[in-house]
Amino acid sequence: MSQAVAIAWRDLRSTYVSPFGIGVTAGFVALSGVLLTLALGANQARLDGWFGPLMVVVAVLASLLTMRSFAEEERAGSLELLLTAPLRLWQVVVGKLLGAAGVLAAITVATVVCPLLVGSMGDPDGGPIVTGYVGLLLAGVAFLAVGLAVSSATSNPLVAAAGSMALLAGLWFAGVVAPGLGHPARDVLQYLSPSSHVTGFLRGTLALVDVTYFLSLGLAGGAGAVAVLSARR
Amino acid sequence: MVLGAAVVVAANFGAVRSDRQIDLSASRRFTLSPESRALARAVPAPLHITAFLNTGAPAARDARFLLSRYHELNHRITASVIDPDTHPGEARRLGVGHYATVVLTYRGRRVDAPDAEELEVSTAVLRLLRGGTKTVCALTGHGEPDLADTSPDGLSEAATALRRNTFEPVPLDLTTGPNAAVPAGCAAVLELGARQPLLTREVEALAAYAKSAGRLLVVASPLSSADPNPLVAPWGMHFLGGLVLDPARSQGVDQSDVVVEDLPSVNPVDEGVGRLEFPAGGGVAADRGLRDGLTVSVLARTSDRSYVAPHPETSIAFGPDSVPGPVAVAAAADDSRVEATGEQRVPGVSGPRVVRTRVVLTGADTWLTNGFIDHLGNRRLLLNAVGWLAQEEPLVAATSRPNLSRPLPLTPERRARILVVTVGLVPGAIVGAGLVVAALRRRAVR
Amino acid sequence: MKLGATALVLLALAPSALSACTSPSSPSSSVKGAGVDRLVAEGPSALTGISVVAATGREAAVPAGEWARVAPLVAARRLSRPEAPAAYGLDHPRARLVYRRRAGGELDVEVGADSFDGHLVYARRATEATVYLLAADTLRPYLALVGVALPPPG
Repeated sequence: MSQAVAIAWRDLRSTYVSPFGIGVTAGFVALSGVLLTLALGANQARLDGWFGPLMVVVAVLASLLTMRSFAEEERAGSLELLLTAPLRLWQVVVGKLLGAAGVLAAITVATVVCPLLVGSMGDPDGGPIVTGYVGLLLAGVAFLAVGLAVSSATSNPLVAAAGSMALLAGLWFAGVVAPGLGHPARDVLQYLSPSSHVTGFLRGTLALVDVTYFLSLGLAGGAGAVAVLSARR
Repeated sequence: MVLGAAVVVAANFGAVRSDRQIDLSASRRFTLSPESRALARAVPAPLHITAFLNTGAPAARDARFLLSRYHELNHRITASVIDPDTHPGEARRLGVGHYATVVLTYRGRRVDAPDAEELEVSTAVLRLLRGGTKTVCALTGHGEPDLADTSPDGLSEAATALRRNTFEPVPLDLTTGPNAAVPAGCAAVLELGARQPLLTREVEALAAYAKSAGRLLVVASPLSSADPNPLVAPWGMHFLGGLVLDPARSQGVDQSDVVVEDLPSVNPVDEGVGRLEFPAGGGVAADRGLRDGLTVSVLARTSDRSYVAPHPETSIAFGPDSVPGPVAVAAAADDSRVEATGEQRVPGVSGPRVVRTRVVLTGADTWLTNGFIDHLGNRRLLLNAVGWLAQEEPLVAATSRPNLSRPLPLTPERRARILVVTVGLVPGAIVGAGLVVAALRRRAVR
Repeated sequence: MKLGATALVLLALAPSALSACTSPSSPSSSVKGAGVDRLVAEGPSALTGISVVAATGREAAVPAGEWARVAPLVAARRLSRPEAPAAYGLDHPRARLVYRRRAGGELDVEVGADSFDGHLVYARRATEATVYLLAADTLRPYLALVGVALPPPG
């Protein structure tokens, strides 16, 4: 596990010593501020209208963060070194995931300025803010895992980013089209879609089914990345 | 890998079935009561809930959150929130005439709930599942407004509201026929604004009905020559007559068009009513100490500055014979007593039984006509009163709490402050920190 | 590196673009201040006349002493995602309010159907698609001048 942590730390450092990490963090905070002004347009001190769009933006962010994980390394020629190191593949994947999750966590922490601003101007309900952040991180890590799986399958970072976004968008919209289908396709698609699992976090509840879903999605993504890397090795 | 996948799938199945959640919202607003959860799970066929709410308001989002709980418990329950301003055609198609109406449909039946809160929604679901309707009998023959009359003075809106809550109002004429008696199928008898006195035998029939576990809604008026007191006096209530005027709380310049804001009772009739508009009403008195087993509650009371003008035909100014406020304008009585015999629910066993009479009295009758029923909480009062009389309250207990407003007007100054901090200061600090780190690294390399 | 720079530029531009789209100074013919929408921002002093014109062509002038009731013309609500105009009776408006500006030019406000509960009326500026809701009580006496009846709600 320490090797995984070492990989994570290396990735985290390299992200933040480059303009990419600084730019992504600053840009995400700025975007979250604009989304906040839109959410507060209802003239209520509540943030569910802010967390909702952020869940979608986090999916895009996850795609951008993971496009460099394996695809960029392969393009730079360092992937072979990584894969031939005396490490198990799952340690590599976990390390990459932890590194990207560290970046996501840092970005998320930077957005705390938004609920603090709302708190200084009004009296928001704290519970949904807590669950909103829990959901954002859970969903974000799950999306990162999916992004890693896609990144491990290509040597082109742009293809990796586009592929992750397409896969996550497909999963999201499965929930939109599901109501028009019959049982059991409707129930299965609705369950598989992240859009069906964010409502609980927005309203201030931590539901076992939603937490289990995102953990499972993360596991599935990680397993997918291991499987792809194993096949390529 | 296959074993792992199986474990993950099983975990998800288990999570769906368990329906466990931690509710961190204020007052655990979105946690349904065990009764509501059991009720939702028991729905065996598709049930759709449509809430008509201003989607720009926080109540609409809370309604979506609350209704999503029902869907999570049972996917046969689907819900939508429609903005009647944006989709007026849909509102008109369903005959929806005011905000916050929730229409529930199930197996071709329909029940309307007055609000998108757990108590109302769960009660409506239960009514739908039960099926059938309860008959409520509206007295006629004394100049009462017609249930089918759609003019502002008619009662068609009240009748429609009752039908959409599984009550079927039917006219009851006790003035004809040799034996005046209230039919056994009446879940409640409604006297909705008589203008002429009731016949003696009618009063006797209604008194006998009330005495044997009857349920009466008496809507009186100082403009009527009918005296409701023979019907309500045995139950600790008295109609004072006169004209109630409230300089502090009235609609416009007409001080007799009273707005009632004091609803002091914990009686379910007052639940969720908020405020009432009682035009041209008289005062009501409640005698709470009449006898054991009789509970009389004042449901609605005017302000301290109100008064009753006993002779409004000569003067409505406050005078020496005026009765100062606050004045009760609605009351409810619940009388439970044990009779030595009469229990018949267990075949072959005869024993004592509990007999319960309920009576609601209001001092005005205009409040439930078409012109006023949608004012303030008037509709809610009617539905609550009939529901209580028909013993349908509270059908379920509710634990979720209504929406709490947390106003935060987004002024241009606040907007600018947010943007300056989040688009300017914080990203600037992040970029600045990055530049400092880069500069330090470059210096270290040199 | 190029990829990082591209992502950085995109993310940096996005908030500025969004911010520009939502700022109060963006071109919009209705004026919004502290949550109030005005179909007509001008007050009586900026006008030389206000007329009501029914769909039948019948026209009447709003008395000058009453201009303050409809100028500025404040909306109860602006619909953020309206349906087609026909849903609000704005495909064939039953009346128009014509505002003649002292600085020159005219402004037409089309009046459509009642809202679902009868308390409000749909309206829009003739040259725009944005749909607003106005208080029926405000318009009732002026529409009555040209024979357009707004029944009381309920």
